[in-house]
Amino acid sequence: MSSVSKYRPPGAAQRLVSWFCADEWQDEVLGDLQEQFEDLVDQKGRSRAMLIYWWEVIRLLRPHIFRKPKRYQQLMFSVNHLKISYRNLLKNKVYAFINILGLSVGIASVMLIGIYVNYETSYDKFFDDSERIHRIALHRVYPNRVKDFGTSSIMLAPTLKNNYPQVEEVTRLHRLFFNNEVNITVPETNQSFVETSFLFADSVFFNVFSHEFLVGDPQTALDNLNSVVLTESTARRYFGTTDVYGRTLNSNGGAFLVSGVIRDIPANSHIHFDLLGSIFSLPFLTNAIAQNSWVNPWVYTYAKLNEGIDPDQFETELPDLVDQYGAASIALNDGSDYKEKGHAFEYFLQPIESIHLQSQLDVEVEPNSDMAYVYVLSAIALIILTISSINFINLSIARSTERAKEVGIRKVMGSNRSGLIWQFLTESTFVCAIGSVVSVVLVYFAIPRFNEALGTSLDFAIVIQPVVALVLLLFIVIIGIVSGFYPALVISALQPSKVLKGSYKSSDKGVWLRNGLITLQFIISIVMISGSIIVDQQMRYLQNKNLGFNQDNLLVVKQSARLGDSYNTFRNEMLSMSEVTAIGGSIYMPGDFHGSGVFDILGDPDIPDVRANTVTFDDDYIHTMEFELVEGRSFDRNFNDSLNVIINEAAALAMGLDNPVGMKLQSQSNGNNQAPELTIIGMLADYNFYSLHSEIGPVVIFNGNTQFVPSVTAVRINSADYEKTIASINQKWTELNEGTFNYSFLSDDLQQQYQADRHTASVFDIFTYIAVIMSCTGLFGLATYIVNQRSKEMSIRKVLGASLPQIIRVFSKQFLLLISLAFVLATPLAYFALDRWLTGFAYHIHPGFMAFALAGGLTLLLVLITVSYQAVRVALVNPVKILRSE
Amino acid sequence: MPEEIISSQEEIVMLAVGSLQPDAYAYALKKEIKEGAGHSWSLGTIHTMLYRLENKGLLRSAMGGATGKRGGRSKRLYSLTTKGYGMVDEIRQMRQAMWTRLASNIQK
Repeated sequence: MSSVSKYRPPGAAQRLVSWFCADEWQDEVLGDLQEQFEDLVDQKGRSRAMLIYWWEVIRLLRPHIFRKPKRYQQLMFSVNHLKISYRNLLKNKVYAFINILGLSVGIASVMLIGIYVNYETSYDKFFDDSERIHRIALHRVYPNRVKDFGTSSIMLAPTLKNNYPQVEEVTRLHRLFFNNEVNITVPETNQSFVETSFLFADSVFFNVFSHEFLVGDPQTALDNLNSVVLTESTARRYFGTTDVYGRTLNSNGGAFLVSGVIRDIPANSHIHFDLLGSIFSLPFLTNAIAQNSWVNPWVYTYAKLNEGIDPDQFETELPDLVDQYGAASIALNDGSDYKEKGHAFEYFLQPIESIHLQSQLDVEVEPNSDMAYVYVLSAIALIILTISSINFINLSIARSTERAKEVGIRKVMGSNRSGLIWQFLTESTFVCAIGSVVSVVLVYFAIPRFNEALGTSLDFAIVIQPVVALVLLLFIVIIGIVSGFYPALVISALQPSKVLKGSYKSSDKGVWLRNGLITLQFIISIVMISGSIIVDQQMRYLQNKNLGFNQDNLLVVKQSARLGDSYNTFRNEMLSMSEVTAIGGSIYMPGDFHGSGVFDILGDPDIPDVRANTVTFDDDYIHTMEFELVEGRSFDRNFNDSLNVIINEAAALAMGLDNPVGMKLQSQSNGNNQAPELTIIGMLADYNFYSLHSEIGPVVIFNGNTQFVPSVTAVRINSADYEKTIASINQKWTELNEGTFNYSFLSDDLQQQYQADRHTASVFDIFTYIAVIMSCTGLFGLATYIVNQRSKEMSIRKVLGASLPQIIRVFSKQFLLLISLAFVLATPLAYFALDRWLTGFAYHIHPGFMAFALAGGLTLLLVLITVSYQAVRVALVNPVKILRSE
Repeated sequence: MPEEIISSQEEIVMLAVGSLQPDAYAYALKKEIKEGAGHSWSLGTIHTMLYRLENKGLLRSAMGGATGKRGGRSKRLYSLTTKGYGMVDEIRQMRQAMWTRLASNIQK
């Protein structure tokens, strides 16, 4: 080892010192260390000396020795940056207002939509072990078609429980599909209520769904036939307290004893009930169990699988289950060769966490939402955030001319580029931070309105969480950096000498980016506006489409079956009123869930069996509803029509009958019992008995016999004074029946069908407004700067004799080009997006060019107003004022 | 009593500077303190105290000549200011006076 290398101290330690140690200390510190090192090498050997050197270096880590930030770096995070940012905001209030407002609306939209998405994806996750709970749904194959039911056979649950060890627990749930209105009377107070959320389950329901009991025992709550479990608010509604164990409730079906009270069910569940009874209290369900029926999907089956069971694996065992346990029952109904005929019962699993967003089967417990909404809204949130960031970038670039002098001075004073970049990033982050604070306030005020519009129950409390604060902070930094970075880069690159001489003009590169971003904003605006227009047109179409009957001035008297024997008296009383022009009854109104059956057309073996919805009318219903009779005759009091039916056009088409009147049908629905022959006596024009989302299907209409009491009655009235008419009908009703008089207007009921669609439309509208307004404010800010920049040019033009319109034209020209480009790009985009939405309706409008032209025109108009406002401002100033400064 | 209180460690550093000046730099002081007072202080400790004393105006420093052993790097040479010398002197006198009283008391 040479003497030089022998005395060389550890390099890493030296580098460490030169890194942290201030320049003025470095020499002496390193010198002292070296001198000591050399002594130590001689005394104690090299390796000890190395160790001591390191130890000394570590002991040297003392603040007074550290490098001090240099002058320009001192400005980096200092108060000075914030102070300058604040002054810059104050200096140009319009700019500050647009920026902060834009950003806060953008962030608020994202937060709001984030909360909404979080809410939508949180469905049913509050149940214990929710990831192990699955609904078993039915893919039912008929000879000609398939249908997916959320429901399943009532025998599925016991079969699973008894024979499949994978299943920890399995429960059945039933809702009253056809007429879900139940009258409940509280004997203590003699009050009566009409309940529409009365569900039925078996005794192990609470083993699968972990509802919290305030009163009663979940294990035994539904053990008795007449047990009923109430929710907290229902109990309070009935009794004013939740301590109601063992109290009695009366209903049309008999008396119930309250066996438990649970906490109210959170909104984010796909199952809601106010009362939960036992399925064994419903005779038709106990009959189905007695008959071992595998044919009718009448209950929802929910299975909680054991831990570690793979649902996909389990699902593959279900076909065998049907073959082994259900075949006999199915053969009774569809024949032992049902498989050859093309019947199949395929069960599949749905994780309950996914039901709310992904399940769109027939007979859901409640109408579900759609994953597509979540995607669309998330996209909109991103779009709005993009717009606000674009505004930010555009305004910053546009303002670079104004900031150029400041940058020049700073550079001359010794600031370097990274310092300036930091300055601008601090500024944009500062604006973002203010925007975020404002956005939280906005969200606070927006949530109630959002809930109102969408029928959700979002909670502001979710915003006050450390996680959200962290995300928001991240947001501030990211948006601050992303939107501040480009301007910072552009502005900080300016040459001070040029800038201070006054020869600076904004660069062409900046203009291109700016134009690109503006075009993007125009595209977004045009797509959103045309979307709003078309969604609105479709909603109007839904409201005004001729449904095949007259829905105006039609009062629906619900639960008219309760009149029983006095129905005819009621009917006659009604007809004697001058305000009533017609009255007719049915078992379902349009919009209600209809029953169905399979019909065999007699006389022609080639015609396939047809599944049709079935409904029963009394003699006056067709006339009251103003259905159009296309062929044959209507039901008539003077004939006995009990074996005669009327069909609709869709049924005739499905049956392949050109001339249906007189043809004979036979129902297959009664299993092996021989059903009577039915004769077609008339054909109605198609009418929409379901919502316009679905095509009109075949309908077979029966006639109620003389004892028939309609469950709903339609009353056509001709008086504009609804209140008085309803009051007198109510009076007639109370004379005949002690139950409450329930009524509605058919047009209102039908509109209920489109509530989800209206929610979509209103959300779309709200965010369209936001997007358009933000685009406009951004443009306004931009126009301000462009106009300011070109004010000298305009003044010279004016001096040379240009008129006001000419000046406006010059300004608007560059924007017009961009709008045209945006229009060309936006139209096909909007068309395809909306076309997809519209195909969700069986009956829909076709988006015409007009909607897009209107959207383009509207955007153009907004741009012209914004730009000309600024142009006029400059054009009206005396040119001398602008020109004299040079 | 001196207006400013200095710790006994600082006093030792001051004394060492005084006895080595004009050639009092950190490593030399370290050796002197080890020899004279028996303390093994790290260079960092000594640097910090020197810095603090200089800020109090008790020491002054100047960059001084390099020697071969230091890899050609210069030293910071410390010396006592008048105020600094006055301070240690005052401490010495105070102690001396108290010591005299102690000695005469014990001898009685």
